[in-house]
Amino acid sequence: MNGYAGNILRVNLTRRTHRIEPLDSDLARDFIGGRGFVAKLLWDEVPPGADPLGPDNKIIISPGPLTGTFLPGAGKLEWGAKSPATGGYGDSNIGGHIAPEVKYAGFDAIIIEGQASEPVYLYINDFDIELRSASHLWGQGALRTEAMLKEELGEKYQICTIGPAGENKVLFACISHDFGRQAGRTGIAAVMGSKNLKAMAVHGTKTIPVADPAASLEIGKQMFAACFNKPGFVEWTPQGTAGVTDWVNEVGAFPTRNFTSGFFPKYKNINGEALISRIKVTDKACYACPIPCGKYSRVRKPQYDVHVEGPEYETIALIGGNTEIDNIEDVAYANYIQDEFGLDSISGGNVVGFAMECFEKGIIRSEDIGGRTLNFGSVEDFVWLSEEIAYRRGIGNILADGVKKASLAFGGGSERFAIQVKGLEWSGYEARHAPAMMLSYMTADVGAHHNRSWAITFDVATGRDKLEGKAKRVTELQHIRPLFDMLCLCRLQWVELGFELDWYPKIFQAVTGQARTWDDLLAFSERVWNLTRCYSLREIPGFGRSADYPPARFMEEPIPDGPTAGKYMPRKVIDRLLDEYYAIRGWDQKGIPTSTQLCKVGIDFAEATIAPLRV
Amino acid sequence: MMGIIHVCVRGHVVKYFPSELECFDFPAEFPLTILELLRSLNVDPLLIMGVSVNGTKQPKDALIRLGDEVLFFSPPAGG
Repeated sequence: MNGYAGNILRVNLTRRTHRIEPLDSDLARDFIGGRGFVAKLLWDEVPPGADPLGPDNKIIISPGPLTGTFLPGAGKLEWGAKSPATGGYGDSNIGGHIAPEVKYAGFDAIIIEGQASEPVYLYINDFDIELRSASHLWGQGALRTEAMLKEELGEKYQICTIGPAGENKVLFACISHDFGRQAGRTGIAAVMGSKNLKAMAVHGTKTIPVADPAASLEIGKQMFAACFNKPGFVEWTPQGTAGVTDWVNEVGAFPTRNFTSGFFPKYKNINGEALISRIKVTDKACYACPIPCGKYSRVRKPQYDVHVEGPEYETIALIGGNTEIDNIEDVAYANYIQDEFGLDSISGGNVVGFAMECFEKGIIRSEDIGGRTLNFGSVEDFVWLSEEIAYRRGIGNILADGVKKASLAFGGGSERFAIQVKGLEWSGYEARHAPAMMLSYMTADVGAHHNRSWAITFDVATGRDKLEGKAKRVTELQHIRPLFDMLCLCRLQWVELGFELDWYPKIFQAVTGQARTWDDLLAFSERVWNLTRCYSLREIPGFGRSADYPPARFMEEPIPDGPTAGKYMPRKVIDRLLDEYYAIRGWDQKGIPTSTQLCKVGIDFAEATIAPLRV
Repeated sequence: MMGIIHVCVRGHVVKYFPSELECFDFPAEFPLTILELLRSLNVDPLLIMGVSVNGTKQPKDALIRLGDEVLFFSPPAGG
């Protein structure tokens, strides 16, 4: 099987054993690696109803068929598990340099099962596999742990870690790698913590079988050259994703004050210009990346002096605008704190913003938090609460379960402004005047995340009050973007440089020997989209249409100010978007794939599980 | 005065430009602002994150001169 290493590593933490199994040829035929393998292995191997934080849940780690080969952006690693944040399908991917090492070590997937009796880390040096004691690492920060393991093992090892938040099973804990890259979403780090798995260190020296090495090399060279020759290539790098901050404010979509507004008047203090002029040290790239989006920064104030990768746009939006921290130094410092605790800064900023609004409304009282304050704009309050959450202390123990569960615990109407879908906190785009973007968040399979479909420019270009064509475009994007997570390639070359999608079937054929059109590849992606829906239907009682609605704030409260003032998206509009979306997808009006649809996309094996839910 | 502007577009919003071309020459009547150029191209200025003229970042209300090279940037669309 060209493009694949040919092996799956299965590690049982309970028994402290491991086994190397041949890659199942049916799996590789029917599902492209990365997200494809994650989805199918979770469906097959995690028992229905498993506790996400119990020994029956499994962590699936998978690079894709193009990972580690010579083309731009071939360095993504997919992580998956039953999500403790949502109770349904969960995945998240990470860049940096670890994905090729997994492949070079000889593995297309790593399956981690069971639960260790004491802290361990997984050591992989080709087929030399060990579970080593992590007792000296337990309790250390995510960044510090990576530094300690680098010191212990040597620079050639690529390392993923969790921080105290993961150890304490915070449901939005993140997996950290390369001192600032994270698989942040859906709480897979909490699953690691539940298994007493502190880290994974990998080094590999094997080669990857490639169908046509000469063609692969030539196409790879052409792809790099095409990137370098794109108009505006040079201008992309300096600010990276932070460069979009001004524009998101201009279109009134910048999360501000716990998504009360879409415009932050002080955005110029935290934008890309502020980043490069005040704190950036250098650019930082992942494996085989010609367009380094990472910004390595140093922030110094009398109270602190730290290095941090970032902040990226999402962190600027959720820590900056959403909690109204109005200077880039404090945003970067809060970013560092959450990185070291091992908290996803998207959910982390969202949760703190939610708590600040609860405090403002008297739902959290000063006496509940030891007489202190929790005010918008205060980095001291932000940092204090992040620590309380990471260690599950006091009110932090409630907030550590995310805004959906916390709002149920707090009451007082706080569920109206718990900004999430399916239990996953909303990321960096306010969407009350962007129907395609709203639908993207509502229907993303993991919950309110932007990486499945990003459609604001489509909304702007086709009319922000118009609904026609929005569901169709979201569906298309939900096949295109997750396909990158199956191939385990970075999307940025495509979305930021306008890199042509035609390149990918060409390199796919050269590496794997499989002649596939782009539409063929998209069909694989549609198969997985339906499977992840079925997974969440199987695991979450009552899952379906009711899980696809945004919070009440977005359906009932007009935006108070900025370019989108007065806008909101009434429930009847939301219902129309959902009706059209389900029709396009071949799902019924409860949001359940029909029998015909399951057959059409090649997952009729799910029919026996799904059929009773349609009644 | 009529003349030619060389226009390039970086990123995904190229699909909203005429013929979805990354780079093209466009005949225009001068004087002309960037906003007026975008309207002539039937492109909503809100789709554009930034503009560079002859390699220098410019606001959308800046004037363009004959022979200028204009580069439009798409907003980063999230990883």
